[in-house]
Amino acid sequence: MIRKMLAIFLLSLPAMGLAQESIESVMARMKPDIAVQIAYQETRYMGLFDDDWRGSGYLYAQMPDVMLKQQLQPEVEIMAAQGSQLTYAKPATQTFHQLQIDESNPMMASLAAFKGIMTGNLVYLRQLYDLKFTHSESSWTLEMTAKDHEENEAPIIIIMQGLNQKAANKMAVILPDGDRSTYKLSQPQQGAAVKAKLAALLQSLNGH
Amino acid sequence: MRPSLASLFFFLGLPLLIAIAVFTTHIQTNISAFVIAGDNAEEILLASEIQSGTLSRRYILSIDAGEGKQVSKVFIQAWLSQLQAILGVVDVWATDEKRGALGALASLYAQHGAQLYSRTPEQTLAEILTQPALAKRAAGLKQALLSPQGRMIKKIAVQDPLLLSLNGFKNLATQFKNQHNRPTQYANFILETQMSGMDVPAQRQIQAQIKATFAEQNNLTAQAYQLSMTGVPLFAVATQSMMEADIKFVSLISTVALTLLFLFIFRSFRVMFWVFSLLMTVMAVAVIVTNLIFGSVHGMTIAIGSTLVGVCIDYPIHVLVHAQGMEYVQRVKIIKKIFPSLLMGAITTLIGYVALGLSGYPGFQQVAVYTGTGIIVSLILTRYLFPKLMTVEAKVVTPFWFIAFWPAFCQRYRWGLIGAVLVLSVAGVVQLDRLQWMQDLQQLTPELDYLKVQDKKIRERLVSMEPGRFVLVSGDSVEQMLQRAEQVYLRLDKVKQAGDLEDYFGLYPWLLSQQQQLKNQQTLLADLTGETREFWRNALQSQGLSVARLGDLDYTQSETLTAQQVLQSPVAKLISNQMILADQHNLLLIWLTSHKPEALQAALSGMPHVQYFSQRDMLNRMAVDYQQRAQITLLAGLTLITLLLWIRYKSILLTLQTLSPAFLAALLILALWAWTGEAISFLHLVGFLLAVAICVDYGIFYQENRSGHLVLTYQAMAASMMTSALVFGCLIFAQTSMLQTLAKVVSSGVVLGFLLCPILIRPKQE
Repeated sequence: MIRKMLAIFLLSLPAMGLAQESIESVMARMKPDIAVQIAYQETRYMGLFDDDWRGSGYLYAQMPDVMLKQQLQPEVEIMAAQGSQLTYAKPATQTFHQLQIDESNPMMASLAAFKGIMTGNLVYLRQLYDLKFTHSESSWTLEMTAKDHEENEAPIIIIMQGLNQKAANKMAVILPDGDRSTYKLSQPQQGAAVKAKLAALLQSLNGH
Repeated sequence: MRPSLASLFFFLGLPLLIAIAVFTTHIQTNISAFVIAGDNAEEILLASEIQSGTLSRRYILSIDAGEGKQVSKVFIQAWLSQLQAILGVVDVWATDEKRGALGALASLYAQHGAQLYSRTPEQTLAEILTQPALAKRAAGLKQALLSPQGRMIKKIAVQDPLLLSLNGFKNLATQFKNQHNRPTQYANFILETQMSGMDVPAQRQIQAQIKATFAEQNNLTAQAYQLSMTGVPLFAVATQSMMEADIKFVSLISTVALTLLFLFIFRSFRVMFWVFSLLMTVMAVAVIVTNLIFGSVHGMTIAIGSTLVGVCIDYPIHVLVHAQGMEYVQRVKIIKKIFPSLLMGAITTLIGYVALGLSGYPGFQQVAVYTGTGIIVSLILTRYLFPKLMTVEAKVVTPFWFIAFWPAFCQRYRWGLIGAVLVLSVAGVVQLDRLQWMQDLQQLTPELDYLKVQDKKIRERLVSMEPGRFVLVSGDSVEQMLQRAEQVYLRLDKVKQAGDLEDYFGLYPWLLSQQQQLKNQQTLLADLTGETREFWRNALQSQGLSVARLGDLDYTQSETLTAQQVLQSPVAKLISNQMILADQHNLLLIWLTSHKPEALQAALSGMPHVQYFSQRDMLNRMAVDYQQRAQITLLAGLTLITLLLWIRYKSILLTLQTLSPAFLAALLILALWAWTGEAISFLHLVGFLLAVAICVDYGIFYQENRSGHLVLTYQAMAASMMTSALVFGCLIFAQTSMLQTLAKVVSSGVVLGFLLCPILIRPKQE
C-alpha cells in the first residue's frame, strides 16, 4: 500500500511543481480575463531610413477579438483591429482609414499576429503561422513563421519571448526584405479600468 | 370503306416526316437572338459581348448576414473553395478584393510612374515639383512607410521615389470611398464562368451548384445567411425556363382544348384523326422548312407558331362542314366550288404573316416563314389530299341554334344593328386620340421584374454605377480607342464640374494611351531640373529618409505600359468588363454614376466614335422602330388585301363590305385599348394585323358563300372562329406577357369579326 502511494506521488510530481512552459500555458497566460493593457517601446530598422525609428505607447486587447495600438511617441496614432476590420487614425495629419484585415496579405500578417497573441487565440495563430516553441530554464521563445507568402520572398517571422511563468516581454517582427521591428513590452495591467479606457479609445476612433 | 392508296401512303409517310422534323431540327432558345439586334457596328459588337463576352459570363453573388452582423471569414473561405471547384467556374473573387491590384501597384505600375501619373502632366507637375510640395511629399512618404501598408510603399518607392505611380490611384481611392458606403452585413463576390451566359443548360447547372454549396455551408456552419444572385446568366436561365414552361404548357393545353372543341363540334374521333393528321403534317413541314432556311428554329417561333393550328384548321373545317358524308365525286365537286374562297382567305392571311415578318422584330421573320409555309401546305393538302382521307361514314352535324339564329336575327334587324355598330364605331374613333404607345420595351417583360428588382438591390450594395448606361468609345486600334477616351475624360470632367455627373470610371489610372504616356514622361524629365532634384534630396534628409536610396530620381525607363500587360495582370479582373478588344474594332465602356443624360449627350456631341449609350434607350429606340415599321407594314398589308379583293370583286362596295367586319373589329379593339388606357406596343399591332387577316377570311367566306348554303358557311366560320379563338386564347395562360398580348388581341378580334359579318355583309344566297 505504501509502495503504491509512493508510486502515485512520484508520478504526479511533474503536475504538481515541476510544470514546464508550453505554448498552451503561455497562450493561456496571454489571454486577458477582461481586458489587458501593455506598454511598448518599438524600434524599427528600415532600409529606407537613415536612422532607426523609435516609437512608444500602449497595446490593448479585449476578448474575443479586439486589439488596439495607441502610439503616443513620436506622434499620436491609433490603430485598432476589431473582428476583420482595421481602423487607423492619425490626428495630426487628420488621416483616417478603414479597411478589411486580410490575414493572407503579408502586409497585414503582423497585425493579425498581434491580435492573435494579445487575445491568446492559439487556434487563430496556428491557421496563419507555423509555430515553434522553445524554452530554457528561465525563458521561453515562440517563433511564428507565416504560412502564406509570395513565392520569391521569404516569409514574415515573428518572435515572441518572455520569462518563465510570465507574459511576453519582447517581440520582434522580421520582414522578408530585411526590415524589422522590435518591441519591448512592460507593465501589463488588467481589469475593468483598462476595459473602460479601451472602450473610450475605440469610441473616439469609431466616432472619428 | 377501304382507304384510298393516297391516304394509305399519307398515313405511312406521316411518322417518317415527323421523325425528320424531330431529328434534323436544331431548336434554339436564346431569347436575345429573338428580340435584340444592333443597328451599327458598335451595337452589334456590344450585343455579341452581352451574349457571349466577359460581361455575360459573370454573376454577382451577394451574401446577407443580417442587420448588424458580418459574414464569417471561415464561411467565405470554405464556400469560395467549393465554388472554385464547380465545373465551368473560371474564378471567384470578392468585389472589394484589392490584394491582386495592390500587388500590381508594386510589381507593374511602380516602374511606369513617370508615364501614368496624370492625364494633364503640366498641371500636375506644377503642383508636385515645388519646394514645399516636395517637402510635403517626403513627409507623406515617411508616413506611408511607417503605416500598415509600409511594405508595399517600400517596394514602390525604390522604383518610384516620388510615388508618382500612386498619383492617379489617389483619385480612384477617393472615388471608391465616396461610392463605397455599403453596409458591412453584405459580402459580395464576382463569379466568372467559362461558358457564355446564354449557354442556358450549363448555366442552369452552375446556378444549382452555387445554391447547393451555399446551403451546405449554411448548414455546416449553422448560419442563416441569405444568398442573392444577379447577372446575365441568371436572366437568360429565367427567361428560357419561362419560355420552355410556356411552350410545354401552351402546347398541352391548346391540344387538349382543341381536341375537346373538335369532338364537341364534329362528334367524331375519325374526323378528328383526319384533321389532326393533316395538321401534324403541316407543322412538321413548317418546322423542316424553317430549319432549312434559318439553320435552326427558335422555341418562341414554335410557341407563337402553335397558333398556326388555329389558322390552318380553318380550311379542312370548311371542307368538313360542306362535304361531310358525301360521296367522293360530290365531295370533290363541292370542295372545288368553295376552294376559291379558301384560296383568297389564305392569300390575305399570308399577307398578314408576311407583313409580320417585315415588322423588323428579328424572331418574327422566322414566325412568318413558319406560319406562311404552314398555310400553303395546309391549303394544298385540304384541296388535294383531304378529299381522299374523308369517307362517307362521317356524321353530318346539325348546326347549333346560334348559327341559324344570328344571321337571321341580323337580317331582320339589320339597319338597327348597323346603326348600333356605327354609333360604337364613331365612339371608337373619338377614343382613338387617347391611344398610348408603349415607350419602354422593358414593360414587355414584367414577369422578369423580380429579377430586375433583385439586380438593383444587389448593385446598390456595390458601387452605385448605372449598369445600363455608359459612354461607348470605339477605335480601330487599342491606341486609337485610348486616345479618344482621353478626350472623353476631359469632357466628362467638365460635366462633373457643372454638377451634371456625379462621377465616372474610365480606364485611367489603369491605362493611358502610348501617346499620353510618352508625353507624361517627356514633360516630367524636362521639369526634373537640378534644382528640383536638390529640393527633393533636402526634403528626404529632413525626414530622416535615405538619400542614397531615394534621392536619385531616375525616371528614364522607356517602355510604356500596354493594354496586354494590364490584361495579363491581376488588374484584369477589375477592368476586363470595360474593354472589348477585337481585331478591327475595339470598344471601351466608361461607367457612369448618377448623371443627367441630356448634359452628357450634349457634352459628347460632335465626337466621332463616341456615344452615350443607354441599354434601355437602345431597346426603346428599337421599340419605336418596330412600332413605326409595324404601322407601315400594317397599312401596306391592309392596302394589299383591299387591292386583291377589289381586283377579285371588281366592285369597291363589295370590297369594303367584305373588309368591314375586319376593319370594324380592329377599330373596336383599338378603341378599347384607348378607353382602358392600355399602352400599345408593336406587338399589339402585330396581333392586330393577324386578327384583321383572319377576319378578312370570314368576310370573304360570308360574302362569297360559295356553297350557297349560308347556315353551313356560317357554321364553318363558327368552327374556324372557335378554334382560332381557342388556340390563340390558350396563350393567355403563358407566363410570357408577349404571348398574353397576342392572345388578347387575336381572340377578341376573331370573335368580333365573326359576329360582325352577318350584320355588315349581305351574302349571296342560292
